[in-house]
Amino acid sequence: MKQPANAAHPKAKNPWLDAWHSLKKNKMALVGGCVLLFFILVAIFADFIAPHAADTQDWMHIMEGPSRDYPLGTDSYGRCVFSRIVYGSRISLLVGFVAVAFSAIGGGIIGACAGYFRGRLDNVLMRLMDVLLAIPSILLAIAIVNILGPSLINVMIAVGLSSMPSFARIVRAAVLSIRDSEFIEAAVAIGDSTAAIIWHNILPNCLAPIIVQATLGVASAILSAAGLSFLGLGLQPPSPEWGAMLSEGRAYIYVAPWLTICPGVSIVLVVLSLNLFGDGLRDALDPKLKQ
Amino acid sequence: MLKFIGKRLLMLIPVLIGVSLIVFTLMQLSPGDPAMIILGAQAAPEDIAILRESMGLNDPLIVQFFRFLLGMFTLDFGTSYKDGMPVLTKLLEALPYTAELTFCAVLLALIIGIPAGIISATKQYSIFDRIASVLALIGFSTPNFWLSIMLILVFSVNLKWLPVSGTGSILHLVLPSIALGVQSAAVFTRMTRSSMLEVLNMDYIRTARAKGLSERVVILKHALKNALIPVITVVGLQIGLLFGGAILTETVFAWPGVGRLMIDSIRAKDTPVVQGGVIFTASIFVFINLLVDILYAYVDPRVKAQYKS
Repeated sequence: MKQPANAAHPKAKNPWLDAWHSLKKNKMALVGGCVLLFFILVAIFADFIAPHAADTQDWMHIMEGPSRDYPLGTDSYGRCVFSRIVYGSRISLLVGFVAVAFSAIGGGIIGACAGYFRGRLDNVLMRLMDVLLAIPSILLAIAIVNILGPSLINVMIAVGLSSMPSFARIVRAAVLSIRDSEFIEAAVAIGDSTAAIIWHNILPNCLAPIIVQATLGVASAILSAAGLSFLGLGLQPPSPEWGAMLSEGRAYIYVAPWLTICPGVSIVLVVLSLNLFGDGLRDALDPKLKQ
Repeated sequence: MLKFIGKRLLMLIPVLIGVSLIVFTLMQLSPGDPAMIILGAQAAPEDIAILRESMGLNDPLIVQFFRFLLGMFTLDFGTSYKDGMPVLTKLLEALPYTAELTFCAVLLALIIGIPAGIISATKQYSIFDRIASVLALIGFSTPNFWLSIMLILVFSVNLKWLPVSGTGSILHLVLPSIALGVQSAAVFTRMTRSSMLEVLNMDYIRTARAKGLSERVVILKHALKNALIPVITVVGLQIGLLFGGAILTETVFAWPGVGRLMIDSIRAKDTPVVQGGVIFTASIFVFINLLVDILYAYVDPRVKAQYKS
């Protein structure tokens, strides 16, 4: 019942396998996937890769350019910029993935309920999402962080909440498109509960747009979180968050440009890899494009 | 058509009430007593109590909300805690700067994005197409606050061609417009390309070519008209997004727009300005989307026909 097309035709191809084959052929998506994997590995093995701890200060080497000891130079406290970027990858990826998981779950539940039950509930939920969409997401995130205070968890909540409406809309549209399918009618007829129908029959068939939106969502979540930290409303120094590092380095742009160049390039690379991979996934998972 | 516009205008009211409710709730939840912020931490408790009473802060929340809502509809957003100036005056002073910056950024993005998208689609898989697609993706992935700093580093610090920050001349506008417009240019390029590709595969284009029309006429006269319809929606969305997203660019370039006013107000805990600013920006965003919908109905006969019947 999970995949009705397959159940009806046991020998039919698995759509996920099809998508994987199509993704493998997309060179740009593969490059994106590899760069993303590289950053994930860097984040996991940061303790082994970074030559120094993120907050170790070396007062003998303040704002020095790249050297053998400090591959990307040092900052105004004599901290190793390379090590801070390596440790910073943990924060950026964590914020991106957790914030998106939060908005995908929240937005997914809202969208699924709106699409499945339709009528008044749909109207109320979607008007609420319209209202949230009317406030530019960075403004909404700023307002939420302003209340909750600047911390890692609060940045995740703020960024997650501000991107919830787009998930709700996508899931609602996907649910609406399959809500009246025969296999759903069959599930209703055999007496499955509503929650079971949504969980077992509807959500697995809406996964493709959710996965695509989630991949692209992680990219924009990382950008938003870096923006918040840059404004001084996200993670606070001495945290090696890339946006916060950029903000700190800005004061020394005349004498130590590497303090702003390096974290910025890291943000661009991670976000670019997510966008490349997300684009590839969309092409692979969208049946309209495949035709 | 008038019925459609009227209906869309009416639909704005609940959205704006919803935005006010969210903003009001967020501000109520934010830490700090307004009376204490105005009088300072050293103020006597009696003075704080008197000010709280006179500001209506002891009234039930629902009363405060309706007062706030009424104020919003009469464009009275209250006065700043910092200097006692009406919030609307402050916002209207900052508005032209943000509008000017947004306009230049969108114009720049259109000048770059639409031709790039058209050429990419007409020469699909060519070197131009590949380079434009990669550049668009890089532009889309670059945070505008970092791009702002890099532009300053290259054009102001090293080449000394353009001023680092501030306002006053057209030269001051160049770097902020580029920094703010690059992401939109990337969006327009991608959107125009995909929309144009879709249109170029349609039967009427094949007919136009079969009639012996030149490729130039087919693309500029027949394809472009239809391909640009979905781009209009994206342009509208981008104007709204840039208006809100200018916060970061304005901060880097010390540009005295609405975004910078809001960031300064957040730091100073000047709640009325933050409240007013969010509602003001959201209203502009919603109105621009309404204008886009109307324009959409105007340029696309299919949408117009839907509302005529």
